[in-house]
Amino acid sequence: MSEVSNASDVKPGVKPRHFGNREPRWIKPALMSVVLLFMVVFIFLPLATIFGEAFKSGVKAYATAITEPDVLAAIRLTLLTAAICVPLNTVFGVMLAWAIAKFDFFGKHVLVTLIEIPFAISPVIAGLMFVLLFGTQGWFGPFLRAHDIKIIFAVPGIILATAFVTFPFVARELIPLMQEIGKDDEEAAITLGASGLKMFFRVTLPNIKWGLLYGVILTNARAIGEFGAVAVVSGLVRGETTTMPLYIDILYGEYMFNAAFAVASLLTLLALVTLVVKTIIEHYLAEQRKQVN
Amino acid sequence: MKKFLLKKNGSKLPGFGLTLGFSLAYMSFLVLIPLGALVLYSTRSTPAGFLAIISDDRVSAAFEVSVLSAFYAALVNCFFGLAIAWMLTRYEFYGKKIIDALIDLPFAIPTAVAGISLATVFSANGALGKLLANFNIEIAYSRTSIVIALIFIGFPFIVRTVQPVLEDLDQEVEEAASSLGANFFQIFTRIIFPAIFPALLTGFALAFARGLGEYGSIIFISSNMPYETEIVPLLIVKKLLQFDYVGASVIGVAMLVCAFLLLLSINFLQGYARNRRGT
Amino acid sequence: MSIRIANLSKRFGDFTALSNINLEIPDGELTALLGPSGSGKTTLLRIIAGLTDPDEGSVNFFGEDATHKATRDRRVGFVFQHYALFKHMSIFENIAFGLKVRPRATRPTNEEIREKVNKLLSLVQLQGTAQRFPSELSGGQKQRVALARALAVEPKVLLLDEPFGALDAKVRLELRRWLRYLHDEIHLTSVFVTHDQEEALEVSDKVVILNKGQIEQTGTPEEVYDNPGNPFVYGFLGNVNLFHARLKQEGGLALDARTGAENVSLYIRPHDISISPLNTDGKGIEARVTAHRVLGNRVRVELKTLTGDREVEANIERKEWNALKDADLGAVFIQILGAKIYAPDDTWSDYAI
Repeated sequence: MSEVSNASDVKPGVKPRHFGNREPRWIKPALMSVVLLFMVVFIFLPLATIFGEAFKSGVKAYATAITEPDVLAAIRLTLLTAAICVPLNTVFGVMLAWAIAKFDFFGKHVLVTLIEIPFAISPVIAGLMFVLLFGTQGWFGPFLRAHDIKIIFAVPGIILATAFVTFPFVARELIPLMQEIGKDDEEAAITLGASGLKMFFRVTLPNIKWGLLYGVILTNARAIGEFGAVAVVSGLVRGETTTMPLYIDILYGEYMFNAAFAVASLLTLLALVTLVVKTIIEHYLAEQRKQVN
Repeated sequence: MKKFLLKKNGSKLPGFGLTLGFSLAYMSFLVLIPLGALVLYSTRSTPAGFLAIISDDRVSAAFEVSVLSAFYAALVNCFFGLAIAWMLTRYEFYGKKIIDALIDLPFAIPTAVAGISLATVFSANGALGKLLANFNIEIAYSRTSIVIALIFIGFPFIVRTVQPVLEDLDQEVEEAASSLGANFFQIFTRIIFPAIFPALLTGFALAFARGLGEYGSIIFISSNMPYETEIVPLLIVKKLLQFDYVGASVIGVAMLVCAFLLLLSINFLQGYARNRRGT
Repeated sequence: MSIRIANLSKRFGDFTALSNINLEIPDGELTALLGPSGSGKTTLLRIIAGLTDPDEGSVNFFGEDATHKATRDRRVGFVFQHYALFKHMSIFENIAFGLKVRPRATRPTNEEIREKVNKLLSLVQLQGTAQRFPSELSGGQKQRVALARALAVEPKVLLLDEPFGALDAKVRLELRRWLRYLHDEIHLTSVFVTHDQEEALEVSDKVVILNKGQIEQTGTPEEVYDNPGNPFVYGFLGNVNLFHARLKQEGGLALDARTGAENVSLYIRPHDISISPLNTDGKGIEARVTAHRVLGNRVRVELKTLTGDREVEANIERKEWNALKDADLGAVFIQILGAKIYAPDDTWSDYAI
C-alpha cells in the first residue's frame, strides 16, 4: 500500500501537494536531474557560450565588433525589415482573424489550414519560391530585368521572404482568442449605435490587446532572426543585403568567431527580452481567460 | 463575394467583406502565388526528369539524412519533452518560472545564433566537446550533430503540446484509480499516458516537420558533406547557387508534399485530440 | 403597434428556428416571448434587433419596413443574457458608450453625457458605482448596468434576452419585480425572452408562447393561464395531471383506464385537486397517498388511484393536509375541482362536474 498512499508523510496542517502523494519518491529527483542535465546542455551552455565567446577578447573588442560599419548596416537592414513586416502582418493578421473568428463562411476550414503553410514548409523553400518568381530565371525575371527592378539579391526580396515566414503569428494567436471572447460585446456596441471602426477600436481592440501584442512580439522576433529564407534571396552583399543573422554567417565563415558571437549576443539579448515580455503577456492572457470563463 | 461565401446563419457584425477581401488578397500575393510559382516551375521538367532528379543518389541521400535526423531528434524529444512537461505541471521548485520561460528559447533565438553556439559547445575545443573527447566521442560535424541541432530546435514543440494536456488531466480520475488500488506505474501507463498520447504524437509530428525543413542551425554544426551529412534544404540552396532552378524547384515540391502530408496529419491529430477531450 | 412581424421564417441548416411567425408587439407594453429552449424565441428577438437576418418575412418598426435596416439604425436597446458589459470600461464609460460613439454632430456634450449617466444610474439604483468596473459588481448589479446602458441611447424598443437567466433565484425574483416597476415608470415598448413561465406570467403585459418555431398562443398572462389554447400551453404553464377518459353517452366521463376506449384527455392542475377522507358527494376517486412533501404553507402530495394505479399529483393547502392527519392514507378520495377536457377534434371545454 505504501506506493498508493503516503498520506502519513504529510505534516499536519500542510496541504498535501497535488499528485505527489502517489508518485514513488525517487521519480522526482531522477526526473529533475535528467531535465536539469538537458537544460544545461541545450540552454545554459549555449547561452553562456554566446556571451563568453562574444566577450572573450574583452569589452573593447566587443564594442569595436558591434560598431563596425558593416555590422551597423546589417542592424539597420534588420530593423528596416522588421519595421515593414511587423505592421503589415499585424494589420492583415487582425483582418484575417476578424473574418475567421466572427463569421461563418464557405471554405473557412481550408483557409485556417492555409494560414499555417509558412510554418509548415522549410524556410529555404520560402526563399526558393520568391527566387522562382523574381530571380533572373524566374517567372517575372525577364520582365524585371527589362525594367531594371531588382527584387532577388536585394532588399525587397529580403522583406518579401521575411513577411512570408512571419505571416501566421498574429492571425493564429488571435483566432482562438476572438472565438473564445465571442460576439456579444461587438453586438452590444452596434446595438448602441457604434460604427464598425468605433466598435473595433473601442470594444474589440481592448479585448484582444494582449493576444495581439503576443502575436506582434513573436512576429518581431522571427522577423529579426530569420535566416534560411533570407539567406536564399539575399545574395550576401556586405553592407547592403546582409541582415544580422546573415552577417553572423559571413563572420563565422571567415573564422571571425568573436565578432560573430558579438553580433549573436545582440540577437540573443533580444530573444531573452522577447521571452520576458512573452511571459508577462501570458500572465495577462491567463487573467483575461479567467474573466471570460 | 460576400453573398456567395457568407453562410446564412452568420453574424451581422460589420466588416466581413472588407477584412476577408483584403486579407485574402494579401495572402494570395504573399503565400498562394509564390506557392503556385514553385509547383508550376517544377513542371518545366518532364515527369521522367522529375523522377530522375528525385532519385538521384545525392538527393536521396540528402532525404535520408534529413528524414532520419528529424525522426531521431523528434523521438529523443518525446522523452525529454514529456519529462519537462511533467516537471513543469507536477512539481514545485525554485526557478520554475524561469525554466518555463526558457523552454521557448529555441522559438525566440535566431537559428543561426543557435547553430554557431551549439557548434562551439560541441566542437573539439568546446565545453562539451572536450568532455566527450575524453570518451572518444566526437559529435561535431557528424550526423549526430544534426540530431543535436534538431533536438534543440524541436523540444519546445513537444513540451508545449503535452503541457496543457497534463495540466487539464482530471486529478480526481487519478485519485479514483489510486483508490481502486492502482499503483503509480499502472496509473501512468493506463490513465495518464493514453490521455496525453495524441498530444505527444502531435508534438512529435510538429517537431519532425520543423526538423525536416530546418536549415540555419544545422549548416553550422554539420560538415555538410554530400552523401554523408548534407540535408535537403542545403541541397536546394546549392542547386540555386548553380542556377539549377528546375532541380531546386523539383526538390522543393517533393519537400512541399512531405510538409503538406505532415500538416494534414497534425490537423487530424489535433482534431482527434480535441474530440477525445470533449471540448 | 410599434413592431409588426409578418410571415417570418428562419432556418439554421436543417433546423427550423422559426416558421411563418406573425406577431404584433403593442406600444408601451412589456411583452414576454416564452418557450422551451430551441423554440426560437431568442432567434426572434435577435431578428427584431437586426442581429440576425430572417430568411423570409418582414419586420416593421412603427409603420416603417425595417427588415433590412442595420442594427445601429434601428434604435433598439438590447440587453444580453450575459450582460456583455465592456470589461475594460468603468460603469460610467459603459453607460456613456452609446452616446460617445455618436457622430460629432449629434453627440451630446460631456456635461450632458455625465448628467444623463447619473440620472440612469439613479434610475437603476446604482448611484456611487460610476467609477467601478464590471468585475467589481454582482450579477444583479451588472444586469442593471446593462439595462442602463441600453436605455442611455433612448431606444424606441427595449429587447431583453433571458435577462434574469444568469442570476441566482433570490436576485432573479427581486430583479424581475423591479423590472416591472421600472416599466410602469418609463412605459417603453419592451420585449423579453424567457423560458420561465412564472417569470413571464408575473412580469409581462402580454405573453407570446413559442414552441418549435411556431407561436402556440398569444394573450395576457391571465388569458393564457386560464384558457390555454392547446395541451402544450397547458402543460408548459404549470404542472398538470393527464387522464385519458371516455365521454359517456349519457354525458359525464368514465375515467376507467383499462377499457382502451378513451377518446378525450383530461388536464387537471395539482392545485385543482382536493383530498378528503370521505367520499361525501360520491364523485371522488379512491386513491392512496404514496408520498408527500411540505413546501411552506402548501403540501405536494403524490397519490395513486386504487383502480388503474394512475399517479396523481396534488398541491393542497397545509390546513387541508393537517385535516387528513388522522385519516387512513391508504384510502382517501380525490375530488377534481376543475379541469380541461381536450377532445381529439381539437376542441377544448371546461370540465363541469
